[in-house]
Amino acid sequence: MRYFFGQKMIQKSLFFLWILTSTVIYAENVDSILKEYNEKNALSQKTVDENKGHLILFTREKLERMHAKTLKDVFKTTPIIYYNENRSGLSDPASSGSFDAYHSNFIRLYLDGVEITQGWFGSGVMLYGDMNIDFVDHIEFYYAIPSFETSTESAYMTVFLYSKDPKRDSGGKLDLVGGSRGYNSQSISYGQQTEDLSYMVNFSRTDAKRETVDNETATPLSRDFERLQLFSYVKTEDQIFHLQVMKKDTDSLAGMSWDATPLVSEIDYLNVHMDYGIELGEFWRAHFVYEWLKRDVRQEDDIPLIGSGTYYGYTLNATSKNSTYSVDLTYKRAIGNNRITAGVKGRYKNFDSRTVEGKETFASPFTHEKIASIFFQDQYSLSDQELLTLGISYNYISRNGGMEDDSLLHLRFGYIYSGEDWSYKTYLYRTQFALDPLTRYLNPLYSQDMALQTTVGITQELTYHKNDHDLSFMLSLFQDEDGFIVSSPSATEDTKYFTTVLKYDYDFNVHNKLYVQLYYAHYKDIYGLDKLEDISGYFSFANSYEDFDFYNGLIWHKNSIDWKNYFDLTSSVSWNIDEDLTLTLKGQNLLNKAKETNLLTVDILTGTMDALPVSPIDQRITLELEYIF
Amino acid sequence: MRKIFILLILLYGHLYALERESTLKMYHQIFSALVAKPMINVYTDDKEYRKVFATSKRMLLSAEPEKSDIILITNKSALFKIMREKQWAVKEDKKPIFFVTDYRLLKNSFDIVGAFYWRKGRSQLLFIKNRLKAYNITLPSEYEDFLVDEL
Repeated sequence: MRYFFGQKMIQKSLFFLWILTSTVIYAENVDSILKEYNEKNALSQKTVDENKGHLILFTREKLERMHAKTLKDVFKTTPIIYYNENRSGLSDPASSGSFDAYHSNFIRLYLDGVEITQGWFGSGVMLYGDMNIDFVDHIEFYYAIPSFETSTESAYMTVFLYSKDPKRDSGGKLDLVGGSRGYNSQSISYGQQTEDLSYMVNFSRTDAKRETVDNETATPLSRDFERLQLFSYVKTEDQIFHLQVMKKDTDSLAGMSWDATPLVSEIDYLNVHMDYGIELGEFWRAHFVYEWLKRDVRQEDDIPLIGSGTYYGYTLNATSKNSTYSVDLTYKRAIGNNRITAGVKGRYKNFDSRTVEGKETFASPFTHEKIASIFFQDQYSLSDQELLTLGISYNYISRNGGMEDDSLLHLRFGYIYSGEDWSYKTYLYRTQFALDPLTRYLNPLYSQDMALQTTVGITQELTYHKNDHDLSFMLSLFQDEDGFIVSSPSATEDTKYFTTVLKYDYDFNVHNKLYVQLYYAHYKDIYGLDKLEDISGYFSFANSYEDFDFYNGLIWHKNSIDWKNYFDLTSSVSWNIDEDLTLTLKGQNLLNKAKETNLLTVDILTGTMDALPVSPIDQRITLELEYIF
Repeated sequence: MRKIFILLILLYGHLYALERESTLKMYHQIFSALVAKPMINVYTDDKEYRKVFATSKRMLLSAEPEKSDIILITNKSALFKIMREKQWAVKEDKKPIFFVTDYRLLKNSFDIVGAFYWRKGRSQLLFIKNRLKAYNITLPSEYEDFLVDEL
């Protein structure tokens, strides 16, 4: 082929330019390009919403490095509100060890952006707070009042779990775990991406043989459980359908025994969750959710059981069922510098049935609750780096059975600055909480016209991110008027609390990482105490060397009740035998000094109160085999 | 500059969307190591990658696999389709280089020289020496850590 002089020159110039640009690109080595790719393409980058609140993020990489198998493994490391269990052995991070039914309704749990609730029995945290997370890609913990777009009911903390994407995790995975006291779990997942849709199924079984709690009787308290869990979804470009089923048969620790010496204490749960979401054109989105929970309770004691203000007697065999229906319609649109989000939400919680010793009976005529809410939110861009956000939400809750209805008004105002290295955000809140239906049901006379809790607060967060450093500092100040969430219902003073969290992550290189977190809180008038100071720290190292991954994490807690230091040391070593097979040896609570909560006990004959220290974290060694196929 | 990304709207099917800039940088880095040309012809039937590559100034999206320098395959059905329909063995001298985004595809098909894929939340880059040799490809020394003899 003949070339003109000009064409040859152009070709030579192009070739020279290519050599030059290639050299420039190679100057940025493959490792640094890989690191940048990892950071910018983590799935969390697609879901994190700065306006949802103050974020503590667990990326897929971090979850893998921590070797977290359950939500509990992650929740126990978070600041401000950390993992705890109540006297029935259920996940209840805000539990104080008292006789209250459930404390953590202000923590809301979401799977792929859809809320999981237990309806009548409270927040989804109750059953799902220690769920198997083999199907999860990353987890986002948002602190303070969430944006109204996400919450149907009032919340102080929202936990978002996002499932794995078959495009990155196609095919199957088998996970087998065996550990102390016969603890064992099996999990199998399969996901596939086709041209038009993607789907994923995860099925797991956990036989949790847990540490017993000595109650100074011949029969120590047991909290073993056997859980079957199904998570599945199918999604297209604009639609998604989830199906989740959980069957959890539990030994329910102290259960309904006043003095924590039950003869029988067992509760079995069966939960079904289904949801369908659809994008309706460019601006509209709709979601429909159905949830159902069945609870079988078997309790026996040699003294009368704790009941709804009265005594059931010495035994209780009861079955209850409840259903929850939720629907929301959201409109989102950018108009100039405004991003407007508005919508309506509805939720209907119905206590379907309750049978005691085979006879249908309700302890209260209060059997359903309807929540209707409307919200509007605007995010106004002041510039490329600054944003103002304003939200208003109104909820109306209606109830049957002689219970008063409630009107709730929530306001949220914020400012966000996002610079190259530094970011800052601050929010002002006014929100209201209504007493949960279960507590209301169990105390019908006392809670007919219960005042709303009104919470006002301000939060601020400063973050610095440059190269391998990631630093954040968060401050919050809140006041609860007529508080019943973290205070006793009979408290006369408002609860005030100040919290601060300092977080620092450092990447030595792609193989070695450091995570540090310090937390301090000062509460006034809480849990019947005039003052409570709470301090915690989390220090961890994650290292990789050739085919081995190492993780060492230490959680430290102390509070002003006794200033006792608690340490939970978790260590693991993984041997990546090949790309498909990994063997992991892991130990949790290795020092056997993890944080404890005092479980309140009462001798009903003498009225003497006592405390039984219980840690929600077992000491456990496990060996795990992971096979990808 | 870090952009404010609070205006994000999450669409169900778009959760896995690639970040354009870093994806282009990474794939150009990989493909430039495989093909010594200033402009590389790339074929892929993956809509998401096509959208990203369409904005590249160094990679040209090809409509025909046989006329491309590199074929990027992202799933099993695409691999079967390409292998079944194109009869590469007949005209091996013109055979494009196969590269995939899934480890199992790399493991199970001997025509593929390398993969860039996710494993436990970390991206992994892998090339197989003897398969590169079949194409007479010698990678720059900085890729030494990403080369394996066999799977």
